[in-house]
Amino acid sequence: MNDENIQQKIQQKVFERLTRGNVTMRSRAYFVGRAALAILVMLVVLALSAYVLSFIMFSIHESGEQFLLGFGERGLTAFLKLFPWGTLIVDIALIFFLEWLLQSFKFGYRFSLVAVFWAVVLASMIIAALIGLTPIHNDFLEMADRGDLPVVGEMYESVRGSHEEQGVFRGTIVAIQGDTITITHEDGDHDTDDGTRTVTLPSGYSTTTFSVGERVYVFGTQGSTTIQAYGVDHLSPDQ
Amino acid sequence: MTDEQLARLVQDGDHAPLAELMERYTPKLMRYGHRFLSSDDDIADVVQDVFVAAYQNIRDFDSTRRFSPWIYRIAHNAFVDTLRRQAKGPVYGLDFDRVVPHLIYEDPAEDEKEKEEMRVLLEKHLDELSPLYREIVDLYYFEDFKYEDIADILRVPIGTVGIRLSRARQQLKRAFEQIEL
Repeated sequence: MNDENIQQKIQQKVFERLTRGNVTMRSRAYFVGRAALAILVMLVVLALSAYVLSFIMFSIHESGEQFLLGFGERGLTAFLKLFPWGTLIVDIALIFFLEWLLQSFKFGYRFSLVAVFWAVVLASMIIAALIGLTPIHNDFLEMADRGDLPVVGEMYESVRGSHEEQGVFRGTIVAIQGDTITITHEDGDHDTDDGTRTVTLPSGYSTTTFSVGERVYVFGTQGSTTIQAYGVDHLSPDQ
Repeated sequence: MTDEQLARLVQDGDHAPLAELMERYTPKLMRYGHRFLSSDDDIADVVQDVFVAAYQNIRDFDSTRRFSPWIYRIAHNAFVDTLRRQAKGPVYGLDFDRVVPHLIYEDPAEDEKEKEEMRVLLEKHLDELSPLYREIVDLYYFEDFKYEDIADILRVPIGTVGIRLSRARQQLKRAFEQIEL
């Protein structure tokens, strides 16, 4: 078949398909709607990613786990073990999904994947920081405490979960004696191990910096009713 | 009439200019199709689908821009899809050139004589290039697209177009030197 025949055959078949009526020209509104929908999905995914990122930052602050970073090598190890990796993986998956969505737009595919990835991460971090300025997470935490938060309620409740197995304790100081402080044991289960723990402060710490009634974050090794602390820090009233 | 003027008429519901566009683009797309498929019949079938898809989506075409990169983008997708179906798997592996940023290579000041020499060389040795480079070389040397157009057709950064063309030239040079030896 020569080129001219091929051309005629293609043209003929195309017009046959068009005139048969099963191929219609899509309207401008279809393309505008599709682009608008894609942009909307991207904005929702970006907002979701920023929300998840801000939740990670909130949970680290709220649980007091950022203190572990100042408690030496053991603290760093415990921090890495307690870090919400699952939530971070969800966030990274959202960022990759957003990057994939962006590839259908010129401003997405004209840049390298690495550049787009970091641009998305930066945008997500900025929005996450802005979300962090709002009381949304605290409000959700309160709702979760009351059992009024569906879907993500459990996620919020886990923020103040007990991590004794990692040597992490939270409690209120009820007594200060010598180089020890006595704290209430708050693991939230209201069972037989509730009561108090006597915390021996590590060297370099002074009991004078603590006061009765104050809430503290303790990292150390647990005995039956004692804790040999590697680090102690003050919890703020909202933590 | 320019391609863009014809496309605008089709957008307004006139079928006749589509015939003119098909006349202009069938030989080009058939030639382009040979970079993906070997059978003329298979290529003709895909080209037919390309025109149908172009008609369906013509209102998505921005007539203030060039028509040829737009239809080549449709053709690229159609040929890659066909190839993927035939190969029952991905056509190209992971594209590392897309992952990291490259310096923006501008179109080199390659004069027409140099391009013609390269075309002669490529006619004989294009098949010796890896598939990743073959299409980009074809679009640049045979279809006469600029880097920016190729970036839009393949949906890759302009720097990636530049780096691949540069690597393709090196690969071709090596292949040519081996033959010479």
